[in-house]
Amino acid sequence: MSKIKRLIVNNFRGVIQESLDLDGSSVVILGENGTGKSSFIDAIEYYFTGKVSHLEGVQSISTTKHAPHILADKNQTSIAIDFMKSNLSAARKFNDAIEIPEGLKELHTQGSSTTFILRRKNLLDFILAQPASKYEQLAAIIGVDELDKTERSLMQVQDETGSEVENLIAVVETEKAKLGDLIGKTDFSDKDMLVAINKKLQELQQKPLESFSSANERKLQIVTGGHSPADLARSVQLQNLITQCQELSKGADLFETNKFLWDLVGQLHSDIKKVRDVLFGEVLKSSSRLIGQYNDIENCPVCLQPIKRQELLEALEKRVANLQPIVELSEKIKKQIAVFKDVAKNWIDTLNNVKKISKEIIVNWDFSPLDGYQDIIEGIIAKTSVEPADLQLDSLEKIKALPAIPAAFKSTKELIDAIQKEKAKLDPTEEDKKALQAIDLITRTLDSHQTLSTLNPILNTKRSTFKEISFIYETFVNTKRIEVQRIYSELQDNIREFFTVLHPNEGYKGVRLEVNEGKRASTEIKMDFHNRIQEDPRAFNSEGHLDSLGLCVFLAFVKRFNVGFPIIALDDVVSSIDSGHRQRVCDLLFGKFPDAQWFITTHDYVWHEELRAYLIAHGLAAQFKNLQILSWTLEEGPKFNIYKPRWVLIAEKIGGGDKDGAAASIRKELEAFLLEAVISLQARVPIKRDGRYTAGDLHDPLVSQFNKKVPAVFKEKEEVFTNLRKNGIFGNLLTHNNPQAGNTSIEEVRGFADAVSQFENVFICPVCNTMAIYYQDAKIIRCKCKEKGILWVTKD
Amino acid sequence: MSSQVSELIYNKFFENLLGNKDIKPETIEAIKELYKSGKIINKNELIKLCQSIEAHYVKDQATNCQ
Repeated sequence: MSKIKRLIVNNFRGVIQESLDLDGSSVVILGENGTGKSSFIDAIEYYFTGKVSHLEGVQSISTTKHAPHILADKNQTSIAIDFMKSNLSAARKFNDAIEIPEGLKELHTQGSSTTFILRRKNLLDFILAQPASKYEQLAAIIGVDELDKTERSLMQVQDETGSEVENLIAVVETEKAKLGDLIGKTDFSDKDMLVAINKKLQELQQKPLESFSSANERKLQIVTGGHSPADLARSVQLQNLITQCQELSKGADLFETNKFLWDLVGQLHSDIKKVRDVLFGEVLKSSSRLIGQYNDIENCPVCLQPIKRQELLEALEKRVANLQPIVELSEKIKKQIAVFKDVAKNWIDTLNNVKKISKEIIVNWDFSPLDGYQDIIEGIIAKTSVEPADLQLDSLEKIKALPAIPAAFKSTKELIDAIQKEKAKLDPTEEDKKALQAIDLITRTLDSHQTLSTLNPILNTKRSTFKEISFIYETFVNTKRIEVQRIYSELQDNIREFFTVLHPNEGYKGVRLEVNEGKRASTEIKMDFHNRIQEDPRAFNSEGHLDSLGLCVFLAFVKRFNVGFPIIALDDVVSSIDSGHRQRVCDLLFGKFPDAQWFITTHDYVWHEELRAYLIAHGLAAQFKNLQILSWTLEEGPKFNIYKPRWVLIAEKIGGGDKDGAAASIRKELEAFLLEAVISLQARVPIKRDGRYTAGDLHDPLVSQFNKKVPAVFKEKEEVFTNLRKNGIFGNLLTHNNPQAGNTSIEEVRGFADAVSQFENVFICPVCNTMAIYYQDAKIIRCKCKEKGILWVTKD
Repeated sequence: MSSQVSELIYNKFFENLLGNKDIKPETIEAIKELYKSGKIINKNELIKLCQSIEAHYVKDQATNCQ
């Protein structure tokens, strides 16, 4: 089992150039969020697999685009690892195939095909997921997520093939239904269909078909057996002529429909004064225009008397205005004359057209009655070509009484009758109709027969293909379900064992992972809790418990599948587990995996401290490197420091007179401590979306909870809380660029440090050095060493 | 590259496909090839597989008609 001796990272993610000299040791990296801790975990993954899994599968993000440092050329990106085993090394450069020495091949193959990294995101996704996506999260943890993609693709292809089959069946059924309507037979064998179509032809008194291939010849025989094409063309012409004659008939109403014209003319001529006013109005309008346009006219153009222009123009306008109604009447008559002329001319055009066509297809028709009517119309048109005042029309009664009009329309009716008689000679006989039905029957039957002959073989091959691809899909789904369940079953014992290490005597047992057979890619996690059997763990577990369940699944997988592969990486995964359980996390990690080379990152200062304390207490400190990232810049990457406990750093800063740095560190210490204490005492803090809590957010809820649960102890320690509030102002002054900060003395900063230290000591056991935890069921607050240290009974 | 767990499951899948009369041996070979070349997750490649299955059936039909 070869561990990593040195990890060298160049221009990768947030790192410019760093070398971690480990000599086979495990490593714990402490750093704030965004300082590049995870870049080292990503680097190990990239070295083995050529990708960074959390950069894959998300639109617009990829290893290719986002793994190299953004200020560097991709070709400058590389990850090199020296291994303890025989000092063997290998390096992966960007986009190049990695060359692995013979002695590392087995390790490399294992590293490239197994899961050995657990990230915080995996746990969060796993905890919050519904059953279907919970499978996806577990699949990602155990490395079978690719199978899901294959299953999805197979399912889509199966569905699409199935749809094609269904569509083809629908078309075939439609064609069969058509055949059923045509010949009462949906069977598509040539012989049966021929029998059926011949039966129908017999009903139509037609000769039977010898074969389908003789159908076109039969159609031609039927066509030539009836009327000639010239007869059919003549029938169409006659029908057209009938239509035009019917238009001519409408001419009988010509005068009635234009009665309005005669009414208007009647109104005008009913009074000679009106007729005179029309003429007079035109004279006045012309005079007004003439005098208005030509300034040099000084005399009246009619009487030649001198005029006063302006006065005359005004008088003219007034008189024209008085004559306006009669002028409008005159205009209406002009418009109505235009309408009459249009209608009349159309009738004459229709008549001429009828004459022309009749001459071509019916000889010697006498059109003289219609010519007489045409003369009447043209006479009226001629009379309308004068001004309305001069218009002299015969009365409508007189016109309608003219004998030429009924003669014309009697003649039109006779003409229509004559044409219809001629056309009737050309209409199809009963025999013709049957022949046409036979042609239609043969044509449509042939069409359907042809379509079915083409579609049926296609449908058969599609059906066979669908059957095969469905079998492949079903086999894949079943194999996956059975095998994944088998893996779950193999992991189950270890998951239970590990979960018991983390949560002994807490009433949890019987953790079970099950593939839900009813749903695609769905996994359910069930567990027993006291008397509740096989329930969803989310029903009664805290986030921390769910965190640890996800961790147990991952570690069980590692135990089962990563035999011989030493590296296990936990990227910021233990932050929501409370202090008491974190000790047990250490028991699990280092007790069950004593030979692993751990890569642990965390932003959680308190967890880091506890981890260190555990390693020292269990004699494991020498096997771990402790690194702390102090800061990060884009240009330089993470800035490392050898880890020192924060109180040691604070003391150094105060000793060196660095009051700004000391106060900032004290404030960070206070924030980290308050967060831990809030979790341990179950104080209620309003949730913040960004998850970043200041001392102000945490302090008051913690103190309030403390006072509520153990008021007597609170009273006893009240001075400590008051002292922190009083000194807390220095922290604020020194860490928020306040201009008054410069006036604060180093002594005042020391006072702030003492206040925070005394505050922490309220909650930390002086014997076992662990934080007091609130146990709601037992109604106590106690430390890990129980009777000897902190033990307060709560007032619940 | 598939994970070792995936590989185990794929191999079991190929085993389960064998010996079934509903699936042609050449189909099994084709799907194995897709897996080896990492294309088995690709829907378009699976559509091509379907087309080749269909082509085999068309060929069979033509042979049967002769």
